[in-house]
Amino acid sequence: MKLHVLRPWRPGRGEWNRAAVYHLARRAGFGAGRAELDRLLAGGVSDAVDRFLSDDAPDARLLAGAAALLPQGEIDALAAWWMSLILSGKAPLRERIALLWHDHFATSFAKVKDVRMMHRQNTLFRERGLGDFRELLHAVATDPAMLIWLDGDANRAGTPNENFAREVMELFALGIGNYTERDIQESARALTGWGTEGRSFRYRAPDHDGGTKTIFGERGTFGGEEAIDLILAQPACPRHIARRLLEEFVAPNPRKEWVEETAELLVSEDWSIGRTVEVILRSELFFSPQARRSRIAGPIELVATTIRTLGARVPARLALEAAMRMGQIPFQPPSVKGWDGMKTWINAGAWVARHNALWRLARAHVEDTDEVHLDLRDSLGSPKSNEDATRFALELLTPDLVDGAFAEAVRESVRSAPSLDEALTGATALVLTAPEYHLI
Amino acid sequence: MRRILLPLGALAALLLVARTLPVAGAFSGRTETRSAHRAALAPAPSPPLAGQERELAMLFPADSVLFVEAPGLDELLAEGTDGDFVSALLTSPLGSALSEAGISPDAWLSWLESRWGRDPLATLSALTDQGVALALRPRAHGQPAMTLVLRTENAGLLSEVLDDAFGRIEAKYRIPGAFDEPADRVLGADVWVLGDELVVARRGGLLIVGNDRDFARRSLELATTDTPDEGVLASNEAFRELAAKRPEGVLAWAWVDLPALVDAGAKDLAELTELAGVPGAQALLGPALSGIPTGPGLALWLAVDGRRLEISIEGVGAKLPEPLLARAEDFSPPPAIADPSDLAYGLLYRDYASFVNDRAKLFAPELLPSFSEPLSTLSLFFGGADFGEDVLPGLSPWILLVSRDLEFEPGVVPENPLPGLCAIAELEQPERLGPEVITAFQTLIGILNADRAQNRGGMMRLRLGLEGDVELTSASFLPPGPEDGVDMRYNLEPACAMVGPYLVLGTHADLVRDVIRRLDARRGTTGHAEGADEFLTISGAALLRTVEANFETLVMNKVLDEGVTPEEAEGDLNGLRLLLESVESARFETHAGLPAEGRPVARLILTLAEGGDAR
Amino acid sequence: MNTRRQFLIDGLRVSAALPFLAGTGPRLFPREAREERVLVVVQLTGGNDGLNMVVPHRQDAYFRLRPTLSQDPRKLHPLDGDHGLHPSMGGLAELYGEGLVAVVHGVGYPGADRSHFRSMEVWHTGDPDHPAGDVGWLGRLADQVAAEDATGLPALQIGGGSLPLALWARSTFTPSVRDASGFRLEGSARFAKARGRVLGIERRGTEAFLAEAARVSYDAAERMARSADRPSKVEYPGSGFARGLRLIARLVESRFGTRIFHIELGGFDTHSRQAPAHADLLRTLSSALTAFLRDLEASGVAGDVATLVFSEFGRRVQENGSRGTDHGQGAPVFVLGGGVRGGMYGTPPDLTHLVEGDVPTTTDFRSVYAALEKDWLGLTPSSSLRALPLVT
Repeated sequence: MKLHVLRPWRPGRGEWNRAAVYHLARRAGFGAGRAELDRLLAGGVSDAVDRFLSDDAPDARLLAGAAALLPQGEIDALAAWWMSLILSGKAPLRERIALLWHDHFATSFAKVKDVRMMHRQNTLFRERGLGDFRELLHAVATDPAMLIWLDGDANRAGTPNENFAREVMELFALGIGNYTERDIQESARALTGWGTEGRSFRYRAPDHDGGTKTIFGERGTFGGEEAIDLILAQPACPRHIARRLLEEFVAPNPRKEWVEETAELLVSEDWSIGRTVEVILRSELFFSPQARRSRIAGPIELVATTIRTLGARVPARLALEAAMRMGQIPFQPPSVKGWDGMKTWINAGAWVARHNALWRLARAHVEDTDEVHLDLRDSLGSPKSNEDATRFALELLTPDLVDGAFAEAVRESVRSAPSLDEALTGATALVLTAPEYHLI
Repeated sequence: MRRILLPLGALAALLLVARTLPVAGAFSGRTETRSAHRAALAPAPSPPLAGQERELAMLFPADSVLFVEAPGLDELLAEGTDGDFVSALLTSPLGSALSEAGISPDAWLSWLESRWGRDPLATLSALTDQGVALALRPRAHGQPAMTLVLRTENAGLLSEVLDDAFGRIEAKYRIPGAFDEPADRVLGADVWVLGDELVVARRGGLLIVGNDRDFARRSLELATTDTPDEGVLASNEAFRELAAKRPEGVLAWAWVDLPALVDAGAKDLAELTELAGVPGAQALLGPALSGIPTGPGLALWLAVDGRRLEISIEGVGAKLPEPLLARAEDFSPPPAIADPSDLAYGLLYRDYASFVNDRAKLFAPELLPSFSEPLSTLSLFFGGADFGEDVLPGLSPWILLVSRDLEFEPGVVPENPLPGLCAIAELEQPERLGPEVITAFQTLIGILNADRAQNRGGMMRLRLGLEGDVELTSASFLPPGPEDGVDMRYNLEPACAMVGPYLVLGTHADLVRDVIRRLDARRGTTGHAEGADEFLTISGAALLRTVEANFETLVMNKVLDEGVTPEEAEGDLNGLRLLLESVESARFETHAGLPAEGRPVARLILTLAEGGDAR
Repeated sequence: MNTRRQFLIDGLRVSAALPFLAGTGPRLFPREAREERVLVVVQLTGGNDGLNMVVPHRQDAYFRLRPTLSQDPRKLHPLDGDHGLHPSMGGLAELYGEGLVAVVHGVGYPGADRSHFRSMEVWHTGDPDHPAGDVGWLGRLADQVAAEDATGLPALQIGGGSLPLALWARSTFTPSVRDASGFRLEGSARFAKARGRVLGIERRGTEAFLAEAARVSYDAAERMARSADRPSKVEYPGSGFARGLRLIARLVESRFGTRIFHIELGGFDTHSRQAPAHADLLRTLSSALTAFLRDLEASGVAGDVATLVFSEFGRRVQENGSRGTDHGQGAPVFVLGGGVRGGMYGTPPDLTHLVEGDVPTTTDFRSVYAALEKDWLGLTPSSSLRALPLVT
């Protein structure tokens, strides 16, 4: 197919710069430190994107370590474990996608109340999130945690529960307005008999409504799987998914043309999320000004990218707590809609939480704590003067704003810092707590 | 406490300043000059030096708040690495591992010897043969005043070592000749001064080092005057009482005037003195332990005996709470049923009946309302009987604790196996109270089930069983499915039984059955120590088994909590394993002579594991 | 020392189950100091024995059914001819005499469930039919306040701990603050100045929105810190509860902007040996509330604050065998404040006509809520019940 905005980006002179690399690292993964950004920059855009697409595996030891934590039955331990995988920097795109699908197929521990099931769902997103979306949707629809969350396991012939069918259509696959109430009701009938037993999916034939249903104009004695296939066959489906991918990797409120192009791409790539994301990441659209710093960073990505960019060593539990205080709790999205993000992240309490956590992190350079280790001289590239401190901090954290009013304001404030270490901490703290930094 | 340790460390560093400087030989010329110089000074008449009869404690003024003496130090140094305890430590798994990593005393001592030109241990042993002591006194500003007093018969050796040390300081700070002349001569002693903070005085075999001239001078006076002065530490009543009871052969002995330290600004210690009035602390620690810091004086001492290390604390004039000790003799402690395979075994004295019923006498008024709600709730379990007045008084204040690894049934072996814990107490009216307690237990399980039903936590099923003739009530979770994994909660299978007059309550039925069998057969050892009222013994090997059974979980939790890599966490935990392998047992005791004598003692005894290979 | 807390905000806690549903883009108003009415909700946890708090001392049944727990009528503080306040509540009696207290008798909900959790859920959601919801009545109010101004703090929980169901909201964030330090901004004065400079440059679009949000937050945090540090004009008793009320008074006085406060006093579940414990609790309650109201008066804002005092249910009339009482149904509720119409409301308990041995519910709690939601705060109430005329 012919690509327009998704055609590969050929940077002009000077366009493949710090800002571009930074943008890629923060969106395709969870940021990278100075040395790695330099490496990516040196390699050129194609190699840099390759780095994020490479199928390197998550840290095996950490991944296996979940088994040691599950018996405790504590969801916070599992959330900290996921954070530790994110902070490890391995397989960054996989973790990004896992977070995306966790938000998209939002399921909350608050109702599921079982850590092992949440872990299994998380593993599903990590292992198959970049694969064929059709398979993913089928897998998610039969995921026991999802069934409990959406009352899918209480869906019986004669008393169909529409919740599950509705959310699959409205939120997961099609989007509002692309189905009728009848479609929902009939799909609910098709999905009867699906349930859970213990922690596993279980199909109960006696509970299944075997009658004829009419879904999207098709008639048949459809079962759940076929209903989902029918949903996938709707033209609205690839658009809905394309839109979600664009919201994540490009910008909120993506233009209609972009959505169309991406939807077409998705279908032409056999619904492969990985290949579609690959094209997006290489595209002009991804590197366009509209995409750069186009959305307000959510707490998890803010905390993780900051820690990784600064090369700080922060215990996963602490990082998790910071994100929680900013208002995002992994495995406990506020509702099936997931986190709405953007401006809903921002209110007085959440902003104070952001400010204080980032301030504390910057201070770790001069104030010794047992748990947080940060050496800004390393992170920023051995600056020699207060002026250097400012410049290097801006280059690392807001590379597209090294000149201008913002940079000048930071420079001015740091100029008279009494020591280099104070200058480093001050410059870093000022940039981290500035509005500019919270756009990702 | 840090403020005390830092100056101590500084003094220690001063004495061992050999570490960084070249061999003394180069300075011998200088030394000769100094000695010759001194000989030329006409000795002025000065009061005689007091001898051994004047104990070190009389060389410090009465307002010292901390006093540390090391009577056994010279012997320990003389034994060096041959002493029983030290060699056991060195051959322990931990010691061996450190040694392989290059951290070993032998290596250090050789290095020190080569730098210093003297055998370090022998020299220090010779220098401390008549005792060494340290005292502390708060000052209006800054760090507390500290003085170290050392007495030795080897005056010549002392003189040489001191000259040596001065030589090295001069070389290091490039101040040649600074110590050639003493800055002053006071009461027959040569006095040197380093800056504002350090004063050194030597007279014959007496050495005084301190950071406060007045304090140091006072010690010098007390060391040289004929007539004993009233204002000495040894005449402090609390001090005398504790010093009189000082056991023979201790390695180090310290005395602390806790109230004075608190007044001088050690805020953290203030909480310690008020522990007895905090309900939670009192409930947990008991009257003896929480009573120790309440009096005007505290003694701590360290003793080593074979493979055992003992650390003891004794309080004098402690205000032990009378209501909590009144019933000590009304009940006798439960029978001895200790078993070598136990992870922990102990006997505690906790009079919860008086704790609740006399709370107005024990705790401040604003703390009292917090009792109401828990008491009300507990009363519910007993069918509305007053928990404090009807149930607790029937419970003996002597509580036996047993902990050991559990045998789980197949299919319910937790992935994180934990040891079980069992408590045994005597009931005064077992025929009446026994069934009530068991019913309360069953009610509790029912209520917990109702609560868990809301949380998909799984419910517990009550079971009645028999162990011999004894009826056992237990509750267990329904077994998990084959694919489900066995969560931590399967460590819990609470159980309850009455064996004669004894109530047995445990976290797992397996352990309760074991205890029932032990009580029935009256089988087991006391595990008691002479004169100890309360004790708790923990087995190193058993604790090690628990750590190993949960090793990966400990690793992962460390990774998440501390931000270390799994490899680093493993390293730390392996260190813990070695430590546990090296310790046979840790035992904690209190001696209060219950009912009170006002002289509570607490002791920690660490016994190293039976030796490793010869070095 | 807890180094984890050092890393993050001291004392600022977020309830683990805060829902964050869609906001339609809220308008941004710069915060002005306006005269605004404040609601303070005091929750007595455990089931307060209302019968020993507002004592119907002219009824023989009271003495007959409570042989050891009944209060001596001579020691009571008279409210009207038939009722007196518990001896510990002298302060509250004074306030009643000045017309600052409305006493509503027999408040509860239909179909009384004597379970603590169930009853609390009902009071918190304001919905006896579907109590197990995820939005509370105060949360709904907070959402309404936030719809006008998204960046302020419409509600605050004082006392730390997890957020009670009453404050769960769809789109507002309610922090739980243990004490004044809970909302402090970290950083030196020097940093604050630098931060201000960076914030002051010109921006557009989302960056401008963020800058505005930051300004409002920093302003709120600074005002909170300043308010909390101000000296109060009256002496407060030493309890934690009183300290919480003192913080609320400081925030109201400084026009902080929060309109809903929630604070708890626990320990009321007195199944046995009720007399001394209950006396202590009522003393704590009365002395703290009195100091609070006097403080508000001295600051000139007593007319802007209405304080609701409630408990999840009352207790049985007949005392039990342990000199305590078990769970009951209806109980009196207080509403205090300068803008309150003092006096008695509802049907006083008639101990000769009990329902299952309890004082029945004669006033639906939702009519009290309606008065506070609609008449006092001017917001949409959570039910359609008619409001009691409690406030001006």
